[in-house]
Amino acid sequence: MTETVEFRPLPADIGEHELLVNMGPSHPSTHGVLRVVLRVDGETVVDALPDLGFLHRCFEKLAESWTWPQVVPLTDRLDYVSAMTNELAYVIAVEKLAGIEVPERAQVIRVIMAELQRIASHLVWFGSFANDLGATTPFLYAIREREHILDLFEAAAGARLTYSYLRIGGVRNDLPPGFVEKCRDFLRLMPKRLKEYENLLLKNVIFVARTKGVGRLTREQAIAYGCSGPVLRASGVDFDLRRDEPYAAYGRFDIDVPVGTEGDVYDRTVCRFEEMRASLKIIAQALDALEPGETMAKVPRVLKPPAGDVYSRIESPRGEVGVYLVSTGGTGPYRVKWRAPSFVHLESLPLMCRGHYVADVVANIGSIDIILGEVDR
Amino acid sequence: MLADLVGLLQRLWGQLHMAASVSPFWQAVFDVSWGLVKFLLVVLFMILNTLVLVWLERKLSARIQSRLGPMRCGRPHGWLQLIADTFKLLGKEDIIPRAVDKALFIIAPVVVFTSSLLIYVVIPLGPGAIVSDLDVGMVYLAAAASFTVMGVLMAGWGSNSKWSLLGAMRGAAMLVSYEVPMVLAVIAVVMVSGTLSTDGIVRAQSGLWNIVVQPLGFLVFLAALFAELNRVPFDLAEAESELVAGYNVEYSGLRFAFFFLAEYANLLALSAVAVTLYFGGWQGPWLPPFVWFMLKTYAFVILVMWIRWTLPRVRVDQLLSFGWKVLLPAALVNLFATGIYVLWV
Amino acid sequence: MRPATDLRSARLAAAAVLQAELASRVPSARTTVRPDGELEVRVEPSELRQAAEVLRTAGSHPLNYLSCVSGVDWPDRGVIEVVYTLHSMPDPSTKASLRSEVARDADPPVLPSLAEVWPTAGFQEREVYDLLGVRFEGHPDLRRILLDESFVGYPLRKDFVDTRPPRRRVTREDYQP
Repeated sequence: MTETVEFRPLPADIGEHELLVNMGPSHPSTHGVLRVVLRVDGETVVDALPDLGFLHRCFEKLAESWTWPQVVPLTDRLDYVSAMTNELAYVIAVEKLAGIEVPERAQVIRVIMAELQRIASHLVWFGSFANDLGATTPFLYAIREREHILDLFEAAAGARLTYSYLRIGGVRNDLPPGFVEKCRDFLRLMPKRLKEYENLLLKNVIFVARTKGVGRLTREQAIAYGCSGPVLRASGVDFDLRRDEPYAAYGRFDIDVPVGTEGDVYDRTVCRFEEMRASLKIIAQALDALEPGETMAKVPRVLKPPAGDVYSRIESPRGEVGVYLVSTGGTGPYRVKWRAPSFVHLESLPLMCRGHYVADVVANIGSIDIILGEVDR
Repeated sequence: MLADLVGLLQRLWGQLHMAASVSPFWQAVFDVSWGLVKFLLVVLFMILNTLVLVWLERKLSARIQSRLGPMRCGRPHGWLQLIADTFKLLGKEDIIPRAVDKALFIIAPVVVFTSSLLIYVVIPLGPGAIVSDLDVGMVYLAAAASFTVMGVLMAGWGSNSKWSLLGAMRGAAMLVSYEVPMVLAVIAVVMVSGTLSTDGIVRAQSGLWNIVVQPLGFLVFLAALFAELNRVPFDLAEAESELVAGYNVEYSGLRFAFFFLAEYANLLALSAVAVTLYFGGWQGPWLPPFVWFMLKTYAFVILVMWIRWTLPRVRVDQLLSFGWKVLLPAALVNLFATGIYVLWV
Repeated sequence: MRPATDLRSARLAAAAVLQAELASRVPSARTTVRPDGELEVRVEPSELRQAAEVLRTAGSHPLNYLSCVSGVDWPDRGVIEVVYTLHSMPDPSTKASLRSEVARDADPPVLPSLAEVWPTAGFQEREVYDLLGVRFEGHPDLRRILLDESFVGYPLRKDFVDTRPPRRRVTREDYQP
């Protein structure tokens, strides 16, 4: 039987020239309350141990005592920067369990919302990642662009961050008039701005020097450590759930999937950046594919899916968000297990940080794009 | 009316000088008091300019980032913002953490502030308008500029915190490494101008500004300047997003204000030095020399700020390798080329 | 672009292959193929490691990607079920869920750790330990992950009762009596 040790690293582990430095939980670059215990030898990191749980809000336990539709606002608050995709993961899982068929228009609206959310989330990532590396200006530009998306969300769903817009069986309400035009305006605006950001940051010599060769994950390591999303694709694995295991209306659209080669921070950055461009393309196709129709399926007032379980996964901006739902035929879930990509990626953080400098820890954390809300649930 | 007042002050100074030449004792008293007056004027100049600089940085950074900056405190455009901030910082509780090394903790901000003050002594604001026209002005300048390292190390060590220590170590390594190319670039300028005194260097540029003769030297000096000033892309001692304020993480209130003001005073001082060395100091047609000096210095300051808000930060090993493997050879090449130029042209 | 029916038929085929493989190498495993192509594998804790090795390597698209480790508490059956959801990467033609049940009243319930087969199980098994109390034998670093080190109890169990003393609300009187 393994004896559990409560505190790591053990005092005996720390070498003579090593220093134990505590990064976080309150730190400008850990993107939330993440604590990383670093063993450093001068400026070189010998080991980095993430310490989680500061934002644990008992989502899974709560979900067990609420009804199926009531869990949707809870899922919003997990990965709060990317709420639409969280809701999408959950409602798709419930629809699979209950065998509900979602109308076509609702599926296309879901795609539009998810892709807009992807761009918004990547903009936040872009701004804060640049900020971590010392360039404060791109953050302001990214937020300025994100305001357009948030305005669109506010028009459709009534909220800017946690929407509760997707419902089991469809979406809460149809798109308001003028949404499609405003969305197309946004699609016209973004490519120029993305080009500007690329010139400002991605092609900057200092940025490239800071990120190339840092935090390398080989293809085998990435698969073995359960990486997904841009982290996986940067390591050379051509896999995207939207294209390879389609859900919602993704099967109808042409999806560009950027794949990297080195698996370092630079490749992850470029992957996420190109994903923004790919999202713009998908939204354009989706807007063209919008047909008039129902936005909500006929769902019983008190939903009681048959007993059983399902694991359903979608591609969120951070990677694979998976929901393992267990139903016993009751009004609420028996068990909701949320597979958060950031949680899984943190396991590979020590791999990425060993042998690099303290400044690279910051770059690595930024490149994984963690959101503590979903790490700790 | 201003000209009358200046003339009156000059006559007064002349009268006192003559009166004091009566005996060595009175001469000494006069010299010391005149020195004190000059010193106070310099401190006043420094403080006023620092206030303007902080406001300028906030406004400039805001406009670059498509925001507005301070707008309310002193309409229009928040020019009283820094006064308000200074009062706020003055009013804070003076916290000295229990575990610090008290002597070092208290002296460190003073050392950093003083080292930037020392540079002002040899900056010529106009023809003859210099606190002390030292014959070895540039040597003094190099020495005074390197004084900051001690203050940074004191702050980092005295704070008794691992983050401060890391920041101070990085800062010390950076400051020391970039001193060498900076001094080499300065030596090249001295060779071209033929004198170590700052006033002399300015006067020697009456025909041609040194930037034309020393383009490589200027680039070396500019890169070293960012390291000396602790600004992005070389702001490792303080790297806010990594070390949470680095060497001054334990400071708050007035002590923090000292570090903060010292940084801006240093910015102005070294920009003035750059202008003196490469851009002809107070030389220029039509406008009074002091106005030229201020214009050039502020233009340079704006350049420095612009770069600060655009570029990301360099990592410490890249910084050091850049300093030793790129800047130092460039400075040496510049020196040799200047030597050849001086001998044969 | 992959139509759903194509994926389903690929998965059904792969599941059949794995079923055969398991039948020969881990005979005590009970396998079912679901309509959507997922292979459900139920094993005893003693066979878990063996079954994991088989699934990790067998078939044309082996299950090299562990997506999720979930623990489910079934108090009416007296067991805690741990479900390992597996996919193949990068071609998702194979999907399986490896399940094992352990008596919840055992002191403590023990399962072999699969962290050596799929390294990503590290954090996820720690979470199951933290919230449900299942110990994973052979795990490199079994400690609580989400909860505080000093926490007593396993909150996600259905019969968990919070025994911590109630926290008093801090009011203005505490600052300005």
